[in-house]
Amino acid sequence: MNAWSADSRDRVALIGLGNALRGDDAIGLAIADRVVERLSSLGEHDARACLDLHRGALDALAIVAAWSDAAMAIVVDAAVSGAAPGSLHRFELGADAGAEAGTDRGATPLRTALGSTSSHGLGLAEAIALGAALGRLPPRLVCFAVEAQGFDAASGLSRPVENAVHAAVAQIADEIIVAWHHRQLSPPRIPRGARPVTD
Amino acid sequence: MSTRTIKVDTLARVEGEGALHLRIRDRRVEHAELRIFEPPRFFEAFLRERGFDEVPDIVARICGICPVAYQMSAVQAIEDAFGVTIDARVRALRQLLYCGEWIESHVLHMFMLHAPDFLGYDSAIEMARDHRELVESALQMKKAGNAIVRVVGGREIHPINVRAGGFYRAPGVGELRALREPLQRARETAARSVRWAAGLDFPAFERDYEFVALRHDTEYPMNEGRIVSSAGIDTDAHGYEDHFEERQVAHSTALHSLIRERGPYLVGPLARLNLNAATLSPLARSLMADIGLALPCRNPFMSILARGLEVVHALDLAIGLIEGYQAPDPPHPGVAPRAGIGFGATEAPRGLLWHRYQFDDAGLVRAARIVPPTSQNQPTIEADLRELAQRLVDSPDDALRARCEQSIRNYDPCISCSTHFLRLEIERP
Repeated sequence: MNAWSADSRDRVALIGLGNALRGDDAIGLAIADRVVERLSSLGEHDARACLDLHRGALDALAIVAAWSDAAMAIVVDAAVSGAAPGSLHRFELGADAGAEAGTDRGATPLRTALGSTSSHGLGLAEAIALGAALGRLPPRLVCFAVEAQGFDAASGLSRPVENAVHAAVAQIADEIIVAWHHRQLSPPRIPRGARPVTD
Repeated sequence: MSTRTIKVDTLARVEGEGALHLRIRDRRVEHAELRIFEPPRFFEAFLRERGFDEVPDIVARICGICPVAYQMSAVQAIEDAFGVTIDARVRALRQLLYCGEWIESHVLHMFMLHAPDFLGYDSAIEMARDHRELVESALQMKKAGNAIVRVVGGREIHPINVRAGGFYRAPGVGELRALREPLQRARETAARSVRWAAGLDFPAFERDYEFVALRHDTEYPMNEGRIVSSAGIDTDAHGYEDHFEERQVAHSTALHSLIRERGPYLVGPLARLNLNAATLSPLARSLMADIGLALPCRNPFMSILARGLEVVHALDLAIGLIEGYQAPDPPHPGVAPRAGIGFGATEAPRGLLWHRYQFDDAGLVRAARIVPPTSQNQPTIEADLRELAQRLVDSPDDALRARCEQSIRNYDPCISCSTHFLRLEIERP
């Protein structure tokens, strides 16, 4: 099955997870915002226009809703896996991941590899499991997670995490551009909910 | 002599970090504690010396599930202190925003946190594999609620559009009209959900609660009303401290609220419904009759029905508010600070949320006091646990623990943010 199946919509959901007031937990928000800026600064306006930006401490239902109508979802979150702070993890669930509805394939390695930083125990790993159970995973789902140093109640990223932002933003923006050009999406529409919000 | 200790160090499917501790000696429940590690009181200190215009955005950060409630009680208290009367159109828009929060919060709790208890699953994900349509329903309804909060509040999580006197920006008529159709579909789904919930198997368990909620002459209470109780309390937000007090207990970072003369009381959907069923929307009232829910209802496990009826009510109200919407112009009047004390009381999804602020003449916060619903319900949750555990004292530990956890989830306690681990410790002499 082609990841860009004919019936999927021509949208990319960019989902930045985190809390701006809990130190490195803000990394998902920061990267998502800067990806949007980078696409604009590179003149990739059509690729920018196919993005729907979702950001915040979204619960599992909200995450599933955010990617339900998308051809591709890119999720950016903080990780706690024991790797060096600032390390960038990347996981991709293929087009057939959702076919095994009822399994939490994809969620288990994510949960065990990255730990859980979500509120209410209903975060990204649970969203993937829930999406699989409901048959509501996007055709392509790419998860990026930056290893956090700390989650103190303060704003601002730690130095190693801040240092990781630029490379992560470049990589994610490239993936979106490549996907865009590969797909040859139809003329851009006004993105829904795509305005950046500053905390 | 035998002693059994049942501990759940971190409760699952509650909003935050809490633990359960039961001690049973010679088949008698000696001790039942809901331990809470929530730190809301730090916010009262954070608020000191902050300007009144910062308060709504700061208090929104107390909770990721019910930030609108904190904003609503806060702006009401600020306007009370400064003698501001709000425009009817602002009032309607605030109601609409609150509807969005009730819908998303109630739906999340009913289907993702509470339903698995009734259907025998450990998690909503397991439940989704066998009951896909149920979770799809939740997804649809919650999305409709989220959309209200996004459009009126400026974003879905920790909205940023609320200010004293009104809103920073009033949404356009077209923006709100676009929400109507999904809300109408969600209302049909919500009505079906109430009928589904009515068929659940509810444990036979009742206690004689004193219900406390706001009451309004013509509206089901949300962001306005007097504080009333089933035992005769009837006061405005200014008089709250005459009737209610908070006590510190060693096992909880949340203070315990008690009625001064009588002790524990109940706030939240079941209390609201028992005290205010007559002002539910006609559709919610007719559904209540259809499912044969008789009041007073003193079974806390049936709070899922109260939540369901409130979702229907909130959807009904939201659709009506959108149809009659006129953008407030200007979206907010100028608000002039003055020295004084202001009080606010609104109905958060989980129950009465009371705020008091003291301001200086420049509008800086001198003192703040916030009493959230969960601290009001905590003594009642523990009383439920004691009685329930006593009735089930001969049950195996697993069954006892499961029923006690379900009993805590009846209240949708909003504790703080957490991951969830579950560990049961049993001590036998």
